[in-house]
Amino acid sequence: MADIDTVKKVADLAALSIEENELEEYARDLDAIIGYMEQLSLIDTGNIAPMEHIVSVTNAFREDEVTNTDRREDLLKSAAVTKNNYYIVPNVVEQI
Amino acid sequence: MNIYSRTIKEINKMLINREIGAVELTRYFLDNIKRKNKEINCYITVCEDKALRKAEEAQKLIDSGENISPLCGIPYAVKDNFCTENIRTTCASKMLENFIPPYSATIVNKLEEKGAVILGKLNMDEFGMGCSSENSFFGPVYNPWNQEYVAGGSSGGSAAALAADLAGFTLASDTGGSIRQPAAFCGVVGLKPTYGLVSRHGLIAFASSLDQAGPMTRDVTDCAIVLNEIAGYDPMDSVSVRKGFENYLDGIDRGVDGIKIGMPEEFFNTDFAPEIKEAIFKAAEELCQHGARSYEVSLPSVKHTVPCYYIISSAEASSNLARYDGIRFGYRNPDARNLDELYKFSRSEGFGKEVKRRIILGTFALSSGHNDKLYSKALKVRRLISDEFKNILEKVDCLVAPVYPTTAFKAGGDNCKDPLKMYLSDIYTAAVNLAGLPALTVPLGLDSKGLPIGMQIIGKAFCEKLLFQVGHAIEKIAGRIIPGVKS
Repeated sequence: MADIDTVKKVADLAALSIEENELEEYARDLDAIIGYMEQLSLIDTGNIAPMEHIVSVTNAFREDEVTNTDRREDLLKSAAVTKNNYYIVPNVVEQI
Repeated sequence: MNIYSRTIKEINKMLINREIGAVELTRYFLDNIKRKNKEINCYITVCEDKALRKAEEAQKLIDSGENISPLCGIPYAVKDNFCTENIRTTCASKMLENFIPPYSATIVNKLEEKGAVILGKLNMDEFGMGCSSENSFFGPVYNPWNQEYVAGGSSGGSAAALAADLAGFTLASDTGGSIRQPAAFCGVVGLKPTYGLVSRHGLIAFASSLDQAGPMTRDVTDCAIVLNEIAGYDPMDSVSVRKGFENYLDGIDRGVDGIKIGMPEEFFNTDFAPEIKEAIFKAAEELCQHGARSYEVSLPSVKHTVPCYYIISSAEASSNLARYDGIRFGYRNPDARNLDELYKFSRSEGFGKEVKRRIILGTFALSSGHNDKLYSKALKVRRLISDEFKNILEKVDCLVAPVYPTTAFKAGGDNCKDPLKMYLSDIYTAAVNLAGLPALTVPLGLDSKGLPIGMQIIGKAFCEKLLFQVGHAIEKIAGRIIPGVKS
């Protein structure tokens, strides 16, 4: 059920590109894992509500105070490419 | 003076009695690291200058004669998925090879305030994904008991550093067993605290509904000492629980008289190493001789742990790891011609194979057409598992269980080649994360290959005290195991 096309499609959704020569291995592993996981469908979960979280925290509030300071330089240091104190990305607007 | 493999409690006494200075102690560990890290490969980064500076500061605190924390002057090390300000934090990934965080994790800050001395950052499976610490961009961690064997994972560096005496205690994280399993493989104590007890602010996220930070130590008392210092509410972790201070050392040596211990048949009926089974039964029997009572109990849904855990953890990982885009931090492919290529090339080259496999699995489980059958279903099964634990723990005080089907396995073997087989071995540990409960690994001596055997004690939410109490009793029975020292 999970084949090479599935891996290509899912990798694309996850912004990954898998090398051509690795596609088969990923497909084989994914197929085995998903096949095993489908045993869950045999369990009767009736009206059981999904459990997203173990702690039922609703809206963790804190005081509305400014706690951060201007650390632009510190933060930009982590980026591989910056210019004039900004992050740089490839051109996303097409030129006429 | 012999300080080999001394506990925090012992070292603290030596520091206060001026039998050793904090700087001398730090140098002892730094020298050990220099000598042994090449073989064990448990440190990714060593921060010698900072450690010596912190040791001097700690000595001043000790000299002041004021009431100091039991961790003041104690050298420790941190799994490399906790952010440390100005110290490289890699998650053992090429993606973060050069990442120097602008802030520290809350629990690292807490330890710093107490005067503990940070030695460096510890190797692990990349982003916490693995069970042998072989999935590391910086090479595998080897077991100090026998270097042909793995140290376990994902916190293999944290466990190996302790066993090899390269730190006084360590910090680690546990998403599906990553503290408890390496602790078992290396013969040290490891606690996965209740979900929400210890802040995860600054812990690089893997699966947020399961991730928990915790300590690894030489003995149970040390574990309680460290938990005392790192537990507590943190507004920076939105699932952190508001709870008053509790002294985890209180009653630790109370014994086990009247304690009800459950032994889940679904765990003990599985196929795992007979020597481990024998050791656990023997420990349970001895606890009973000291006044505990043991009961066979049933958790029928735990057999679904592995599919449930891997769907949920991979789904959450696929979302958490979406932040690595090559732009703000982390690895960036230099040749990308457009934004799509920048994302894809940076991520594909920055992440290792296992991480990519989990992202793909998680994305698949969340994708339209599969979500109901996989992700939503897993969340329902999670509630089944969690409810069963809750109900059983109304009837007994704690559960004992194996940690892993085997003791440490050979390095470089086939264990990583068949991912499904590797995942199946997480059955005993991952259920505890799904249920958000605390669990403590304690050593039970050595097997016939001379490798440590571990056992876990699982408790009710926020009942770490009882785990320490039972763990302490086991330690008195089984004794500590130290590489190179006959027990």
